[in-house]
Amino acid sequence: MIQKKICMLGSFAVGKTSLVARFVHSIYRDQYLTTVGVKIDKKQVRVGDNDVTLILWDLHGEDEFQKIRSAYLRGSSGFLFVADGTRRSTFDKIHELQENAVSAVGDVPFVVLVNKSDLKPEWDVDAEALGAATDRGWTVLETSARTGEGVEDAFLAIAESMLRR
Amino acid sequence: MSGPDPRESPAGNDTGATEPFNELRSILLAPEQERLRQLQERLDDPRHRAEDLSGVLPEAIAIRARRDDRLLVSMRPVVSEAMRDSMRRDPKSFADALFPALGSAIRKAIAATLGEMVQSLNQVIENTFSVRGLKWRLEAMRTGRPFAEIVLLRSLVYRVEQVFLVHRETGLLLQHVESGAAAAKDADMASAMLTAIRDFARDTFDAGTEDSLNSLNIGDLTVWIEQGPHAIVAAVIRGTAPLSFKDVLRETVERIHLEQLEPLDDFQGDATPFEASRPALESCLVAQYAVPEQEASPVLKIATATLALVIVIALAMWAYAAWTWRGAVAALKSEPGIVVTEAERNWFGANLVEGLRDPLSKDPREILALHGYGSADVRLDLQPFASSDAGIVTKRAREVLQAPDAVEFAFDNGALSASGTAPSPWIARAREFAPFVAGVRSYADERLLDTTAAAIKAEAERLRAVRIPFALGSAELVPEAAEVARSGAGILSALDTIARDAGGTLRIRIVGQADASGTDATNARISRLRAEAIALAVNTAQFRNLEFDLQGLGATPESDRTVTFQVDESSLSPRKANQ
Repeated sequence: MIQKKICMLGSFAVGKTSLVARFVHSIYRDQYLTTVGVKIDKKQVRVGDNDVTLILWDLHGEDEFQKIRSAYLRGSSGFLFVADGTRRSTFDKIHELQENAVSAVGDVPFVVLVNKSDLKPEWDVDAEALGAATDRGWTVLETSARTGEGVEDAFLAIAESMLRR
Repeated sequence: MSGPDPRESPAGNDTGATEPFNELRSILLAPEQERLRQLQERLDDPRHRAEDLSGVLPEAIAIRARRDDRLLVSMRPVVSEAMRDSMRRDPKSFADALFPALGSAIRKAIAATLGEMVQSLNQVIENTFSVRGLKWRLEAMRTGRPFAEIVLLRSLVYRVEQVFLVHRETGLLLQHVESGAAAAKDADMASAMLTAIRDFARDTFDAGTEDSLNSLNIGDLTVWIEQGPHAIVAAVIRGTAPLSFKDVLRETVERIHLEQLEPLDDFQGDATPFEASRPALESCLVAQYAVPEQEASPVLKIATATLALVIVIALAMWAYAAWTWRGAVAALKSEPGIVVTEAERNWFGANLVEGLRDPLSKDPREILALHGYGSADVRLDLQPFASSDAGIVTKRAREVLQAPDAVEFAFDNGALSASGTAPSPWIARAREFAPFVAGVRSYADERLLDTTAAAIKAEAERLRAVRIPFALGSAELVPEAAEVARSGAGILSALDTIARDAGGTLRIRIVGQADASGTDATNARISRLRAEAIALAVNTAQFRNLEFDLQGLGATPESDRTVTFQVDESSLSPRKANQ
């Protein structure tokens, strides 16, 4: 069994916690996010012949009032950056978050999740922005916490990226 | 060897010039060259090298092992792999070789487990029947937790329930062991959360990189954390562990780092190599229970129990005696005519009661006897007095006035009243003397029936019906008249008795009458004669308590030839007597 630490990062209220709530094993309450600033969840995926345990560090959404504790990023093998498709600013914020992550732990695999795909007509993140991100070599997946669309794929994608390293 | 051959010319192709030199060298250095050649051959020959090495290898290993553990660390994978390979190839040989040791080890393990069970059972039994055990059983009932759990918790000094080996940088769980009593949640997540909390604490208080949270307290649980360069060991402890246990953790961290430096250094998420650290971590799963108090000797136990029993009995007797004494004193206090001013209970000697007592009150000895106190048990010092208690005053009135049984008394606030029935003389006497009874300020007897007057009235009615007939113009008794006169004499006898009992005399009038056939003078004379004849007939002299008046009424419109009796009922009336 291989274990990997993954940090989930994103702006405030992009739906990180909701995104994984139905797909992970959790023993801690959401209040940990607002107190300690992180909640630990666990997700097991199978990549090829390998069972991989993903220890998810769901970090409190960064906003103007609260910054992410960089100590939490240490030792992370991968990142899930989450943006809200209906809020362009959260997508743009990912550039900054990714740079911070690189400076904290180096160049590690990551996947960008644009959430709320069930509200796609209302999206503020256009194809051009998504295309630009893809052109930079980012893996961008559309997800929906409400329908569950793309969530399993996201975990699989980050697990595969990490094992390829 | 890739270097130049010392036998070759250093100049290479200048053969002509070096030939003499070589010859000279051969002459001068032939023995050394031969030895060099032999050494070269020895070095090039693996068989020779192995032979040489075999000579110094044991000593070399011993020297290195004394210096540090590098040799051990280096050899462990090779030896482990070799053993695994051998086991795969020839498991039977290994089984045969291990059998003697394995059998002994299994027996030892079973014996140890049984020993723990017996010890645990002993502890439970001991605690079940002790006072402490009863207390714990009550606690178990109150909290709804199993008794065994309460016993364990209360007799536990400390117990290491879980030990985590956590990769320091990633917070990933490398290994986790737990005691049978622990109920661990997801160890992977606990490991990560523990790391997060440590990071949080370090960030919050701006601690240095090497500083970190080393201890957490949660209720009766404590988490002690020992940090190494690559991994931390966290022990979850129930109870209070000695500080020396920190040394155990520190040694464990050091040992794991020493033995598994390479896997720790190269950790990429695969925790399999750290299975090897389980024994080290399991050695931290220790527990200490409270040592039972030294068992007292049976003699001391019996003496203690006897003393306790004696104390309990003495206390019970004291409480019972106090209770009965309070009851006896209360009974005395509630008794009419007795006033208790002091009641003293003595352990050694008779109790004492001081106060006042009306002579008419109930004997206090009888009251005390009802509560179990004999004459010798209580010394009474009761001074006589006249009680104004209603019960005593009525009793006193009855005694002083010598009241008949048919008389009832009532007393309220100084006023004595009588009811029932009594003869006239007693009624008169009571009116005279009742105000002088102690405690009585007024006396009333409106509800008292005068039995003497009632009796006189009844006999007077009967006597009025007696009419003694006479013949025309005659004052002689005819036989029929004599018979009536006798019945009249009987009634007079009864009245005489009543008058005697009342202590007075009663006035009776014998009235002679005549019809209108004669003259008035004749009628007056003959009616008088007839009255005298009856007086003679009934023998008025025999009635000492009756006074007789004889009257000749003569003839009236209603009269006839008879003699009748009239009783003056008021002649014996007490009221009249008073007047």
